Amino acid sequence: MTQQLTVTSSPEADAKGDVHQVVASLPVSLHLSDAEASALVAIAGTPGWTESALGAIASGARGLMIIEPCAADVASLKKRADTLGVPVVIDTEWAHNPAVAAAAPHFASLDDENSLLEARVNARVGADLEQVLLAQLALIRAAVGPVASLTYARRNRHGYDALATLVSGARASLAAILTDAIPGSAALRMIKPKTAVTLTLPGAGTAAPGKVTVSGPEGATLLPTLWETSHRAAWRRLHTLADAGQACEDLAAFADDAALAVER
Amino acid sequence: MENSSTSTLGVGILGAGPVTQAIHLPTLSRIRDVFHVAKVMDVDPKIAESVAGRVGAGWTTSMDELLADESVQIVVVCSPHQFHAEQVIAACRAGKQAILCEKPFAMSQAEAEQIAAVSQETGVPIIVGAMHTFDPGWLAAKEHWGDLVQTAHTIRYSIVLPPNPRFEDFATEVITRPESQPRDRRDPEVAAGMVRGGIMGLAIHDLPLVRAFCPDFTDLHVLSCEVPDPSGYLLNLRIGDRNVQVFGINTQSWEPEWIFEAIGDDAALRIDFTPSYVQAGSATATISRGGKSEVYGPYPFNGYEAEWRFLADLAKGKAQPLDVTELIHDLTFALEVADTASAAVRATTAPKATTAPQKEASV
Repeated sequence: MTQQLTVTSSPEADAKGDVHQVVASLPVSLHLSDAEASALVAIAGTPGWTESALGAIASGARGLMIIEPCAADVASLKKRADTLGVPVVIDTEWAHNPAVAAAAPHFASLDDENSLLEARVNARVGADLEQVLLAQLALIRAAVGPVASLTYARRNRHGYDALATLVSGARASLAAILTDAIPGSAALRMIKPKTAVTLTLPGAGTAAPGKVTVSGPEGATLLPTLWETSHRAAWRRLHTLADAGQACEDLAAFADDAALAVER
Repeated sequence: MENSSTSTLGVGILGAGPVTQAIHLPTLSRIRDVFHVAKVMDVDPKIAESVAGRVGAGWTTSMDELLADESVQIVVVCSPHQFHAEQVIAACRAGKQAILCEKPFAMSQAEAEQIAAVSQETGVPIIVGAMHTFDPGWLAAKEHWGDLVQTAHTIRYSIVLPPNPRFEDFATEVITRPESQPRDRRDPEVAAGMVRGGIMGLAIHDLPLVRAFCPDFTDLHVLSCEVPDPSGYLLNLRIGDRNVQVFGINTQSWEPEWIFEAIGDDAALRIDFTPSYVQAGSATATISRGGKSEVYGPYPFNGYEAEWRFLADLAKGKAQPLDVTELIHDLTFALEVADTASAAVRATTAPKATTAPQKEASV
């Protein structure tokens, strides 16, 4: 039987992560609470978020959702969370979209040192490029694998173009385009001589499905569509981890991505 | 089979390879009320005779003979690139009514300026076979994009190119094709050659479209250049204050893609072009702004047919000749991109262990 866990969210976390909407869509698993010691705590990733997270753990939280965190030193938080078995899930715009997990095995089958991954994000004018890159790196990590190194070809107020190498040795072209003309979205594509995988994702504010297309000599297959926001999928994951008392590796992965994203 | 007619314009074709066979003859068959093929020239007599025989035209292995033929009013130059300038100039001097030269119309700025001078001197109008600049989808976008040329900050131009025969074979029955040699993209010289060849053979199609959105096109910097597997190019450019990415990849896949985008803060244009060779209708242009999208096309004919119809209007004096200066700018822009990008990739491609050699293709 599903255990219902209480959730506390600050207005800032709710604004960034649609927490109330998510809880409303998971009424058996989650329940909003004003109590100081809720089981799960949503924390906005604004400066100082690691201190807030440590405070929530000290207050007895069994799991934390960090929403769109900015780069920060997570060493102390990671140590405390690991020691106590508290999962700290990082919620960025695209990484938890269920289409990402669906695409992952297909990207894995193409990912080698001869591959080129194309990654593109369309974001709003004025978006914080460091946050955009962190979300893009998290997406790439979840769908394909971690980025090992990254160099900007260009970064300005309209976006960036960067070249990267994945841990697999594959090359990657990362782009962000800031525009209000088209909706926010992300896309990943890997083209091999005879096969290709394409993943397109809407912004996290909608449950419109991400689309995964796998193509080869026999034709192209659109994988089944999954109408769930990345926020909701992230909360389902946190619930499962907290219920099991199981920590996770999100903080370590975030630290690696943040090291790449911080402007050099 | 077609018959020569005094009521339609006679076309003379220099070079009867796949482009003539799979593009121009099928296109001309759609507009028989305007054109007939009068004569076909190729250095290989068997090819010249065979291709001419398809359309009931005369044939020759001599350019001079074709140009001297009074039944030829329009000349189309489809020979290898290095002959383009010489043949265009000869056709101008022969007093033809109009000339269509396949891209690129010259291999250097000096050649281009020489052509421009001869065109001006003889009054013979020239167009270059950059079919997307004539595509009804592009022209509709041009009519409706408002101030996007001034406001666009990011340009994206991407081609995923399956092998040409996949489309040629739907357009016609090709009797001869140039050989493709296996090449290793990890060799710096090969990589540089692939990039230059890819830009002058493939990317060149829509570099005039890129240039249209880059008013400061002479202020060009290559920020990065890579060669994807198995071959192609990935360029990040700064052109004036515009952020430009030009991507092309040759694959063995069946799935083509040909997209041009110009994006500003408040408006964005995306054009999806149909593949080369096949008569698959025009591009579809989508202009997005303020939460709305306007879609133009697809229209029933593509840029090949549009360029021929424009040529007919030129020959009949119904259309104004293109500004040859613009054609020179298109060419010099393409050459600058090709030269700087190939130099960049030569400098950054470290020799590595050889992997399976791959083929390179272009349209």
